Amino acid sequence: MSDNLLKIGTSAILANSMLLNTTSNNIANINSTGYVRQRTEFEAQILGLGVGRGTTDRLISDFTLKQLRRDTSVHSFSLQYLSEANRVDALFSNPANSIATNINDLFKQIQTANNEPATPANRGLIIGSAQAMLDQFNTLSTQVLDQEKFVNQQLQLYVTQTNGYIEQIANLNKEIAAYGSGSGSRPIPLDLLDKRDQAIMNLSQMMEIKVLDAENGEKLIFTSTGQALVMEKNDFNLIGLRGNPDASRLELQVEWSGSANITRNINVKELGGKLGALVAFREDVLDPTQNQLGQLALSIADAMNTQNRLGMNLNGEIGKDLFVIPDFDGLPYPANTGGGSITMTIEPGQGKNLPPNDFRVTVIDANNVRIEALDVQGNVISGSAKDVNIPGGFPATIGSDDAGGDLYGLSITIDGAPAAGDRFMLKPLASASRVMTMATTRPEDIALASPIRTEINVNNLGNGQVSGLNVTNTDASSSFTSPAGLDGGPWTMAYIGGNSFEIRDNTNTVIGTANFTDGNYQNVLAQAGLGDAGFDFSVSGVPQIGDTFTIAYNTGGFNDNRNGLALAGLQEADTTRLNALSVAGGVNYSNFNQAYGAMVSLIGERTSQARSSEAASAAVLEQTNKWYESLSGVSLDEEASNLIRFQQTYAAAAKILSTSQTVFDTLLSSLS
Amino acid sequence: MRLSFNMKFYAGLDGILNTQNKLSRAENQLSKQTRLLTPADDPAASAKVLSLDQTIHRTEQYQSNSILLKNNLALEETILTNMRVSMDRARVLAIASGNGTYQEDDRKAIAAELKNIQTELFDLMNTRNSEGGYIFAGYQDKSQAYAFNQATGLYEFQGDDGQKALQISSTITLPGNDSGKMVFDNVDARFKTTAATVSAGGATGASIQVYNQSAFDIFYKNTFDGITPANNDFSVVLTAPDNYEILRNGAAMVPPATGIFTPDQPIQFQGLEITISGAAAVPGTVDFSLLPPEKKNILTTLGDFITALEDPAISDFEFQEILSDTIVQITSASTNIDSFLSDIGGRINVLDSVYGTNEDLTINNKTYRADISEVDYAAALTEITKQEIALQAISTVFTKVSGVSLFDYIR
Repeated sequence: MSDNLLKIGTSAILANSMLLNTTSNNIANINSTGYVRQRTEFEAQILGLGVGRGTTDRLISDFTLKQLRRDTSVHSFSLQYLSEANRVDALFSNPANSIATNINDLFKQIQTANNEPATPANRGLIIGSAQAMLDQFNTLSTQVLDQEKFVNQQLQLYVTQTNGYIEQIANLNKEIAAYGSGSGSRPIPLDLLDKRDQAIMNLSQMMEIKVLDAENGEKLIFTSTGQALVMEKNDFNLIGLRGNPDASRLELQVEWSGSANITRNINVKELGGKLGALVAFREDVLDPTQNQLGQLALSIADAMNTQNRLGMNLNGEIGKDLFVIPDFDGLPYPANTGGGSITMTIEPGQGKNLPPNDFRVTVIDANNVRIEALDVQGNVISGSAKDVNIPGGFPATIGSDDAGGDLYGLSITIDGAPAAGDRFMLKPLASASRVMTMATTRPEDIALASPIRTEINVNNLGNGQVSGLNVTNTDASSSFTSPAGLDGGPWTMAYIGGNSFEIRDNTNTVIGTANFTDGNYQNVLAQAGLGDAGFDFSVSGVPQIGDTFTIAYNTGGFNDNRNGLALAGLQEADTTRLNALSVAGGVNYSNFNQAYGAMVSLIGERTSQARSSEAASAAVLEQTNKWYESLSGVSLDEEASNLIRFQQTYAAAAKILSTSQTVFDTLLSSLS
Repeated sequence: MRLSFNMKFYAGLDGILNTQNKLSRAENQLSKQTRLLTPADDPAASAKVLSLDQTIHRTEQYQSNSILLKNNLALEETILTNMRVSMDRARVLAIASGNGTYQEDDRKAIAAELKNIQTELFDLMNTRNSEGGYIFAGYQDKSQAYAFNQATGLYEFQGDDGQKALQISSTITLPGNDSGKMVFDNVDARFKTTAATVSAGGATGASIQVYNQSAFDIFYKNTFDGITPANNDFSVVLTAPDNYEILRNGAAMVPPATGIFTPDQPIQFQGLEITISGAAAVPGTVDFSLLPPEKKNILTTLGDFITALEDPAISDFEFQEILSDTIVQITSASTNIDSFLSDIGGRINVLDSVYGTNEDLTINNKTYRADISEVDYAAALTEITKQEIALQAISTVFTKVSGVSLFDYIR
């Protein structure tokens, strides 16, 4: 009898000390990351011989764990996205950083100069404001570029971490599998399982994953799109690659750790987690912002250049460019077989047709190329293709006239001998806002005056007036002579009756006759066959036969501000294209301020979306975490009560032993 | 639900951090005085604020343009009004000098006064603005608007037709100056004909004079042909027994101008009176032509008149001709200036009304911007107080809840 007591007592002591061990272990690991609450369970030994063998288990629900991983991925994604977006958002929230301020300032200075066009001081302020605007473009664009570099660095870092987790999981799998499964297996150390779960949790922060259980106890890890990362007995690695053809853009791939030759493309859009967030942020916020900045810079520069060229500067010469729009190199695709190269710039006067996109030039054959606009993911926008026929073959420069009036504002020069099928990527917008410079810093070079002056002959009997003068072209193809003058000017226009005007040059030779059917004398020069003159006007009022008008170069007309008013009018003009695709009759242009406003509101909108999705995912994660903790977390109060309980049962077990001793002693003493 | 130790702490900590976030946000809104700390706070409002900012800035610029424009126009108005007064005085003097009783000395005195008026007008026509530009010189405002040409003896305009416009709203630009060419030079000299000459027949004399200048002016403007000079030649053809017909360039007028001719009785034709004397005039022809139009500014008109006044040898007829030239031309010049004065008045009216509209727009836009972007002090302060109380409450609860542990009771 006491023999059994001793046995039972011993087993009870052992069991209770094991229970106390588990409890202490739970308390000890309360702050250990990835620790899962353990519980030791015993069953009674048969035949009433005390307590049987005890097993210690982790208290965990696989389902909750899966949910927790998924929610962690989602939350890591939105948190990472939000923290990146917040930086750009903050950048654009500072009024001192706002390009709108600079643009407003520039136009304000133009207005001021218009009030006194001949004053150099006012013109100097325009130059100063324009320079400040360029500097601001440069600053903002550089800051956005820094974010891009930062994203690349972070991608590298996260890829290294991710690879670490993948390797860790594969190694732990191996160790765990070594303990065997099924009958004859040894018990797996619980901390190994904790470690592996923690590694998987860490991995799920980096990207969205699917976890499957293999029969031998291994966990197999796949990306959300089903690509294997950890397989039975081996693993794959995620790698960051320099992009093609744009080396400044890091792309992701998976590569088998056993052989670098076995690679798989990865669908980054569904990557999820921190890695997915970086890629998505780059596509959603950084690239559009950088592109729109570039587009805005180029369209402002081209619009100002174009208008300035239509005027007369303070030296009495035809205006020149105010900003230098540099050439951009086309990036050849690695698969190109020919020896061609491409450079591009903005076609003068066509800047308003530049959409906020990158472009791809495909050489179809020796006489045909195709230009397509690309979206932020680098995919062709369907319907955006422009096929250009080049009858003379390469080398060639193509522009809007070769593409039915719209080649996205580009002027593309193809050199060398590209082979059919060669492709080039054009990314002018990515760097445009950082490479533009002022073409002049001389206040005199701002062309506030119109190059044409029209005067009525004071002896005219009628009240006809020249009105609506519109200068459209001052280059070599027009009637303007470089650097200052009107070909054959001054011209004299005489009303010869019968709704007809005769235009003579300074040698009194008739250079054109405009015949109208009624008294509505619109665009006289075009009507007279002088449509290429580069300017045109109308006659209002009723002229009398013999009335003459003088059309002369505006020599000395420095108090004129007509071109200055046109420059100031650019602030309100539709100068920035919204989409590569144009719908007939649709609104596809906005002014500078609207374009900038749209850009800021896009950033704001993306950030605000990120904010709410972060809040939502945080709430979901918190809920899931509670659920997980409620089973797997350690409660000190519970452990305290267990401690008391197991202390008492331990004491009781010890009492069994002492009882057994007492019983034995009683027996001995009764024998003596 | 089973509460783990970590959960208790996290829940408390989360609450404290969240509340602190809200508190700092409200504080930031107050210190930066804006509701929109970043575009993400309200993307649509941020874009709106940018566009409102642009509108407000632009409108402010329009307002300063308007003030400048109004100054320019007021200056011009003052100059023109002064000129009108002087010109009225000149006309009074001219009319007075027609008094047949005036002697040479009287005329000289008038000439002296007119010279002063001429100098004054010349000075006013060369008025410069605060920037030193000649306000009536058009675009070429650095060169004097009017100068005396020794060779021609005329006061000549040296500028151009240019009108510098200023923008006072996004759609309205108003000219801030007027060219002297339009204001002063675009004044028709009195329309006249050549003297009548007898080209056939036995008329002993023929004369022509304008008896109704306005009727003649209308006829002249509709008839004068600057391309074919022959179309300006007219002839009075007298046929037996006593008929006359006026032909233009040898062709009948439409409708025909015919009538009964009586020697020494004036034939009235479109404000003209043609008088042919001599009984033997029929049949015969008397020719006259329309003189090409001429413009004379007030300075030249006065110059011509002064010369005539100072000429002791001038015949009465010549003097009368010049006198009527002068009176007509001073009147035309005054009328022209009057029309510009009313034009300027009209511009100032538009300016004032646009200025008022712009002012209202600015207030509206600023109010709008304030509504969507500026911080609502009451709301922000309430928020701070609210979050402060919440923070205190959460902190108290946190210490209470986390302070209770079973271990405290194990002895």
